[in-house]
Formats: sequence, C-alpha cells, structure tokens
Amino acid sequence: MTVCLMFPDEKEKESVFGLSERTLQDLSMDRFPDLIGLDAAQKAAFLGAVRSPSTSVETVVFRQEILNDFLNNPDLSGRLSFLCGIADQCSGAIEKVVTDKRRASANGISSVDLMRNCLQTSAVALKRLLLMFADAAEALSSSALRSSGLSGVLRYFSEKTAAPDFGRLLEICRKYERFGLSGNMNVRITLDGSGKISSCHLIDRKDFDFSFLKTPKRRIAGRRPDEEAAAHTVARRSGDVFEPVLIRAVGETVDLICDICSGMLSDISLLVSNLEFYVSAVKFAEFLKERGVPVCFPRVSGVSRGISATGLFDTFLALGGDSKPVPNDVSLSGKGVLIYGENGSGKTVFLRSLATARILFQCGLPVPAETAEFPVAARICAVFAEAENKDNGGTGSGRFENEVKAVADAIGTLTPGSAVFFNEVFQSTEYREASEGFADILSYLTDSGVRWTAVTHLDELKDCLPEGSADILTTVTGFRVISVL
Amino acid sequence: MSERAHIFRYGSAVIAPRVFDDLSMRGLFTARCLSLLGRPCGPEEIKRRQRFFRELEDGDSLSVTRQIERALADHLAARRLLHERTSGLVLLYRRILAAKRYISLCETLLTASERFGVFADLAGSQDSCLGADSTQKALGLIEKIDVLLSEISAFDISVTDKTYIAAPGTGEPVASELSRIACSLGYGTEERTCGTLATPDSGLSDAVRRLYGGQIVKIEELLADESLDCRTDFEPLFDELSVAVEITLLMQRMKERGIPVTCPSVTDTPGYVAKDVYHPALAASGADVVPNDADITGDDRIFCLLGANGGGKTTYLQALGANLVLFLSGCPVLAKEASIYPYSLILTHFAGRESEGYSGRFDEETERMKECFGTAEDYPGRCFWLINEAFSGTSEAKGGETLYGTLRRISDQGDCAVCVTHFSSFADKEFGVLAAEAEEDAGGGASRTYRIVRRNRFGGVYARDILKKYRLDRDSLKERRSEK
Repeated sequence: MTVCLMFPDEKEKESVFGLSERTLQDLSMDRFPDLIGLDAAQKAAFLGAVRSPSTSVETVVFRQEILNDFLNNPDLSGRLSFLCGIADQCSGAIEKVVTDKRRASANGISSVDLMRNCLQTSAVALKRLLLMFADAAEALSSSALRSSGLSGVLRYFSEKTAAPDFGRLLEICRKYERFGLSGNMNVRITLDGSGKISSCHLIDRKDFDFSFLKTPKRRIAGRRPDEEAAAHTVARRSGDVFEPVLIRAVGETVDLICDICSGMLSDISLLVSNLEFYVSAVKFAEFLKERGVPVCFPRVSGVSRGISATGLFDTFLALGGDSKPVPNDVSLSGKGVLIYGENGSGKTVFLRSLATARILFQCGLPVPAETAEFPVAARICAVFAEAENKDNGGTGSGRFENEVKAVADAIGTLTPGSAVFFNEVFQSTEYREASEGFADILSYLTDSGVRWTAVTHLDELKDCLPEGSADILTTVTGFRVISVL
Repeated sequence: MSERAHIFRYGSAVIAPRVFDDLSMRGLFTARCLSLLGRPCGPEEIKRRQRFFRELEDGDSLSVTRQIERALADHLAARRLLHERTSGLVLLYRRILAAKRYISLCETLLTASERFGVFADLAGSQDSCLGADSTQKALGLIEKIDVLLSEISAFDISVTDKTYIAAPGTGEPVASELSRIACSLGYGTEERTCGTLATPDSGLSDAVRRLYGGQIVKIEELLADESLDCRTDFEPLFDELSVAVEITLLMQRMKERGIPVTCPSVTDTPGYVAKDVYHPALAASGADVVPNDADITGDDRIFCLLGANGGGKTTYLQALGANLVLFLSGCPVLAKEASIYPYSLILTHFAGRESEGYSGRFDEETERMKECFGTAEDYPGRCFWLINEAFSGTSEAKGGETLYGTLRRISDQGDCAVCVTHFSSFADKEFGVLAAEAEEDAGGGASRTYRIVRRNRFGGVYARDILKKYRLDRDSLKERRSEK
C-alpha cells in the first residue's frame, strides 16, 4: 500500500493534464518558487504539481483539505518533513549495505566482519525507520485533522505501529545494532540427505551463554558434572567451514532486514515527495498572508459553471511586487470574455490573475482572494502575444505567423470544458482582418465548449462576434476592471 | 562385491568396433548401447530378449522399466559417492544414502520380477534383500535410521573466542521470524535460492559425533545389518536396461514416422530374408528412405551388388548390416517382416584409405581381410560378411582376382556375404547378383530412387548424369573451353 497525499485513490492519478511550459512562463508562474524562497526539492514539488493540474473535483478538494490541516497545525508539516528526511537517510544506508554486500560477493571478498557491519548498519537503519513511523503516528494523532488524506496517513502509521510484531521487530533491531560489539554469533546448521550443510540461520538463543562452562573444571570437562553435556567445543582451523556458514547466516538476516526496509520505504516514497509539495504550499500561503494578501480555497462552482471572486489579486504581483497590488472582483457567466483598456491599465495583469487563480485552484492550492468560486476546467492554456522572432531560420515567418501557430497548437490541446486565455494576439497585422479572423476562432471555441478570455485592442472584434456571445470588460483608473454593459 | 547382476546372457563372439563405423551406427546409438550390440547372444537368448522387447511396447511396462533404470542410476551414483575419499559425517550420510537407494532398488526389482519374465531369475545377485521378506526388514531399518538421522541433522553453533556446538534450541531462527514479521506487516521479501553450502570438515564432524554420539552409534549398528549390505554389482543390469529403453524409444520414434518395426523370426538354416528393410541412421534422420528387400537363402549365400554410382549400394549394405546387428542382440529391426539366421558374428570390410605403415591401400585392405578371416575361423559357417568395394585401389585384374579369391574362401567356409563391387566381371561369376534399379520419382524429375533387385545380368551405368551436374561431362567441358 503506497501512502499518497496528492490523490485520494489510484485512479485519480489519471485526472491530471499537462500545463505547457509556455503557459507557465507567460503567466510567470515559473517564478513563484524563487519569489517564495523554496529550496530545490520544494521548488520541484511545487512546480511539478502546477505543471499537472487536476480535472477532478475530488482531487482538488482532497488537496485543499490536507493543506488546510497543515495550515491549521503549523508544526505538523515541519515535523513530518523532518521524519521523511530520516527515511531518506535510512534509504541511503540500506542502499549502501546492499551495494557493499553485492560487490563483496561478486569480487569474492565477503567476510564475517563485513557481514557483521552490514547487519549492524541495516539494523540501525530499520530501527530508525520504525521509530520514524512511531513518531509520525504520534505527530499526526496529536494534530487536529479533518482531511481524509492525513487521516488516511495517520491510519497507515497507527496500524503499522500498533501491530504486535512491530515491537518485536524493534527488539530485533536493538539486538543487532550493537552486533559488532557483542562478539557472539549463534547459528543453526542443518544437513541435507548427503550430509552437506544445506542451511544455516542466525538464531537468538539465550542459553548459549555457557556460563556453566566458566569454571575451569567444568570448561575442561565440557559438561555439567551431574548431567549429560549440553554443549561441546569445536576444534577450529583457518579456512574451515565456519567462515562461509557465518557469512551466509548473517547475510541472510541482512537481506531480510533490507527487504523490510525497502517495503517500508516504498510505502512512504510518495509521502516524502508529496510532503515537499505541501510544505511549499504552506510557505506559499504564509508568504501571501505575511504580505497582507488574503488567501482562500476556492469553491467549485456548480452547474452554472460561473466564475466569481472577491478581492482577487494577481499572484505574481502579490508575491513579488514592491507594493501591494490592486485586487478586483470578478463575476462572469459562461460566455467568452473580452477585456479592453488603455495601455498599462492592468488588462494583462487581470487576465493573468484570473488564469493563475484557476490553475492554482486546480492544483489544490489556495488563491490570493477573499472568496472565489471556479469551475474545474478540462484543460487550461494561455497564448500571449509573440515577440518578433528574429531566429526564424530564414523562413520569413514573422510574428503573426508565430502567433497563428501558437494559437493552432493551443487549440489542438483543448477539449470541451477547457479554458484558454489570449493576451493581445493577432495585433501584428491589419486590424480588420485580425478581428475577423480572431472572431472566427473565438466563435469556434465557443461552439466547441471552450471558455475563452481575451485581452485585446481590436475594437472591431466585439462587432465581429455574434451578439451576446461574450462578456465585455474594461479597465478603469486605479487598475480596476469593470463590466461594460 | 561379488557377482554382477544382469538379465541378459551373452555369446562368446564380439563384433569389432570398426563394424559400427562401417555401418554408420555410431552416431545413432550410445556407446553403452553399441557395447551390448557388439555381443551377439545366440538363438535362445534372441528369442528371450525379443519377448522382453515386446513387453516393452506396452507404455506402462516401458514406464516401469524406466523407473527401474532410474532406481539403478540412483543406487550406482550413491555407491560411487561412497567410494570417494571422505570421512566423518559425510561418510556416514553417504552410507545411509547408499543403503536407502539400495533398498529402494530392491523394492523396484521385486516389482519388476513380477512383471517381466527376464527379471524372474535375476542372474548374479546374491543379495538377500532381493527377497520380499528381507526387503521389508530392510525398510524397517531404514525407517529407524531416518528417525535417528532427523535427530542429528541439525545443531546450533555458538561462535565467540571459541566455538561450541549443542543440540538445537527451541527458538525460531531470526530469518524465519523476520520473514513472518514482514508478511504480517504487509511487506514482501525477495525469494533467494541458495544452493548447498559446504561439506562439514573434520572439526565439525568430530563435534557432531561427540554431540550425537549415541544416535550415531545406533545408526552404525543398523547400517551394519546384512540386509542393507549390497554385495552385487548392478552396473551391468543398469547398462542392459538403459540399452533396452534406448532401443525401445528409437523404435517408437520410427513407428511414429511410419517406418515398420518387427522382431524377426529365428531360422534354423543360414539366411537373411526380409521385406522393406530400412537404414536405421537414415530413417532416424527423417530423410526420405527407400526400403529394400533381402533374399539370401539356400545355396545362394554370396551376393555381389553392382550398380549405378550413388545408387544406394553402400546404404543397402549398411541397412542389412545394422539391422542384422540389432537382430543378433535380440532387438527389433526396421523391416516389415524378416526371418534371419542367428549368426555368431558380423564382419565388415569397407574400402579403406592410404594409411601409414602400409605400402598402399591394397596392402592395408589385404591385411584387414586377413584379420577378418582370423576372427571368422572360430565361427565357421556362422559369419555374415559385408564387403564394400574391397580391392578397388589396384588394377581391375588384380583387384578382381583378389576379391574372387576372398569370396570363394568365404563360400567354402559356409559363411554368407554381400559384396559391393565395381568389377563388372562379377556379374558373370557363380555368385548371386544384386543390382541397383532406378525408379523415377513421382514427378518424373531427375532424382532417382534405387531398389536392389536380383539380376542375372548387370545393367548400365548412370555416371554421365552425375558428371553433367558438375559440368564435367563432354559438352560442359567443351563449353568451358570456349568460355576461356
């Protein structure tokens, strides 16, 4: 059973779609981790999730609830991360044991001492892992959890640590973590039908202490005076049969300990990487809050699939701007949206704030708004105006052609229920032609069930579209966006 | 060790190893099989073995025979181990293993004797255990030994500055406990197969002896019982059964390919009569084989076989010879039906090469022929000769004269012979003549199949066709000149 915090079940893993790198860059979302100050692992986890938004309401809600739990239990993510770091170290130790053992065997240089060291190292690693499980269970059980995800993780750790054999496993590890020092190895040997040694296993035998042999008289006699000898000495010589026997017996125990470690690590392998995402998400939310930006978990809009938000900030500016950006309220129907306005009045920022919020929502992340309600889109992409591409390989393809290609590529990925955001495309050609051409594309998208939002300077565009097929917004002084009725 | 156990009886004659090379049998049969086939066994034994082979045609009987073969192999393997240099624990275990395998063999042989006539009086074995009562007693001893063995086969070792040995404690080995725990916690463990580790050395053996002294003494006492003592060499029996199985399986394969198999009837007068005889090696290879007949009876005991190059004369000779070898050892042959005299010996003389030590091929062949006659004089009138293009390494006159003298001498001895020769004058001698007759194939194509038939006169030669195939005929050589 693999513990996972990104999806409620296995089949939900199929619910994601890929966000193009171009979209990520156009919306400046690739810069979020650096603005927040995430480390490499957290950055990779954050961007990994952002690149794969989900189309499943269950997954979105699943993640929101987990993140909510982490936000409400500030120490929890840190503690779990710390414990996962221990798991990582154990994984490294086990890998080294396996490699050393295999190399020694391949080169014919296995020895009892090497096996002792391997057993000691693997026992220490397993013990640390077992204790990590116990600590994780304790950390989760002492937190107020409401999410099914973290409750599931708690259940997993609790069941493992409560099992009777868990304690016994810990005992075995404690015995062998000091194996190198004890100097005493007990082995059970079995002979096969031809008298050869067919098996040899380490045994945990307490009555092998031979305390009764400690007195000189008894040691010489090798037996208790009043009963049959319980043990006899074995004459040893160098290169005798015991070396390979001990190597096999100890090696077998090492292998089993490594197997158990591998099983445990495999179960929690996703947890380790998933936690990085939630740690980064917590940092993201905390960062915004510290800057005085409200955060909320958007609700899923119902049948109407309407888009609404109050006090929606542009995430990029909220994270990295010198001053607090201007929020906007949004209330959109299911139609397409045209956004007009003066240069530098905040059209692109508004577009970006909306696109970014929808992507963050579908990753299960909070958005910088007081309230928000979005539908879940089948796909999301953005097409921003193309700069003149000097490196066109001498084909003569200018900006317009590049934009057309970009639009074509984007449309190729869209399915009904998708959302696409256009920023000032088709403005590098004659405006009348551009308007007519773009209107055709937007009508096509509407007919295909794709929801579009377009920032444009093409005045005639709104006249080329069928009446009532688009909401029209405009920017006003103070970077506000209002509806044009 | 005293008597050798066997179920077959043998004559005194031994077929020379060279015969198997000449008859192309070496690639088809194992060395063990050829060793048995090399000892013709006489008419009564032929009939006895033929009965056994008929019994083996039954699938169950063959299966039982293979079980006996396996039991023999196991027993012999255990005995070989016993004779290896070893001591201590390993020697004790090997003695036990040898005893177990021996008793298992005895049980199997008892069953065999109820099923097969040839086992009814298993020759050579003096072992008391081949009686039902003794076997039961031995089985009881083995059971007791097994119980004692289970007590001494495991022990615990403690290694510190010294090493100690004790009887196994009650605790579970760490590995099995870990496996169990892993399973209960829902973690899988990798299957790892480990072979036998090592042989206990003298130190360990001595320690085990001291630890389990009582049990070991009891085991040795039980092993000393005479019912566990194998005094028979079963190697010959194993060889015989292996050969019987080998031959039976070969014949099964032949039948599956539609090749007839039969046990020839044993005649009282010299002769070799058979219908549709197949060359064993060719038949086994899956090639299209043309069967031929043999009709050597009465006064016609010497036959000369003349005919087209590549016409199958040598193949015919080999087919006759190989099937005769099989018959003389009581084995089935590849023919539709056959009646054959139980000759004492087969002699072959196939054309040789220049070899060192002789002044030429002719000398070498002459010397070999002398050796054959030397062998044959012990069995006058009871030899079957197969001669292939002897004395062709000299002038036709000299070669023909020498061959004629040879065949006359064979005839005077009362032996039978089939002789392949290119000396066309032999078509008119007093000997019988066989010729290779070409038959066109079904498509009327260029390939020919040959049948050997009795002829009064010898027909034409097809050497020209063969020369043309390799562009060595007259027209082709003319073309080649003009190409140059």
